Amino acid sequence: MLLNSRIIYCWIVCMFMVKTTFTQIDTGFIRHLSENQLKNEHWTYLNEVKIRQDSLEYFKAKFHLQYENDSLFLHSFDKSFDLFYKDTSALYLACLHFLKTNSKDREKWFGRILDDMTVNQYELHPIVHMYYYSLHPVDVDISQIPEQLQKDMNSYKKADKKKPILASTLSAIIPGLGELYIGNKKVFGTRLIALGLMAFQTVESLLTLGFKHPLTIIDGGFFSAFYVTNIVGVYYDTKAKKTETKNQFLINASNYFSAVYQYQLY
Amino acid sequence: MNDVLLQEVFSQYELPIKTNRKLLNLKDKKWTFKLNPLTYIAAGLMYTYQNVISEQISANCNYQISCSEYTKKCIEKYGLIKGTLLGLNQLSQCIPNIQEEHCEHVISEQNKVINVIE
Repeated sequence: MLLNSRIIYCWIVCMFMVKTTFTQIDTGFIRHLSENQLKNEHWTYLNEVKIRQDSLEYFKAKFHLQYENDSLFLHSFDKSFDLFYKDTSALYLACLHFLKTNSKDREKWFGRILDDMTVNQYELHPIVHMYYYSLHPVDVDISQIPEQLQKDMNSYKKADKKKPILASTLSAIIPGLGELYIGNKKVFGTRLIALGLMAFQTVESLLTLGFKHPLTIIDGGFFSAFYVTNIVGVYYDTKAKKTETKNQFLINASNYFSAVYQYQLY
Repeated sequence: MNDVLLQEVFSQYELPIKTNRKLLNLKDKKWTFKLNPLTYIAAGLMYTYQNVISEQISANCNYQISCSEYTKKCIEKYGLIKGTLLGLNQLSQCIPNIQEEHCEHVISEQNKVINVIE
């Protein structure tokens, strides 16, 4: 009898110890907080609840994914890698999020995914392929891409082929021609007319007022500044166009795949 | 009650709040940048334009970071020559309906081109 009462006491003490160390996380409550966008309450709950460290980081990673805090998400993801990797829906949503994020975190994320992706995670394959295609657009067979994305891929491929140096050279020969080469027709027209007028004004000042007249110097200065801008600017515009069309392709791909598989975070 | 009614009726005609613009941000810059008088002249011209001329002509730029602000920030970041060239490049592209030549994701809700200083 005495032995039994001792065992019971021990059980009670053990239960209290366990209770103070780990608690059960209420996923229903977290889902409620997430659906109603109760950010502060959600974060407070995650900080107050006492669960295993990797589980906590897993929930924190999902929290940061929902509120688009990329660097903190990647930090928590690294700490809860095994758990997060088993959650296909969260992994899929994270891929979709990073597909349309224009930052270095995108490279980091897909670098990790490409290293560790298994054959079984077939839902992720098309998204990762889209990212791969965006890195090497020249090798892409357009028929492998969904029909809705082919137009964006074509414009990206077209922009990727343009060379900044060639665009600058063309602009040096005829002002604005480089812009026409990269597809900016309006800018071509504006630059051609504006620089043409400036050149005409400079020549007229030169012939009527002479080389040393202040107006000739001002006209010549304006013309020279805009002419050099026209050459240098198109170099950066070509690069910017490439990035712009690439990001548009990836954003549209992300939107397309989010409609194909409608996963929920919780 | 009258105040509330007046507020409701005239709120749409309120002028936008004037943004507090600095002449130049000299934090973490090299001493060569800080001592170059041409930088101050160029930034000063932009500052004068923004605070005096721009409001008078009710300028409405097609870019989210306006051409003058973009030039100033480019001068801060890249120095006088490259900064001025990039600013002039944007200025020469600031034409009506330039949004049509950009992708959808760089057009803001206010129908302005989102430009980033990289």
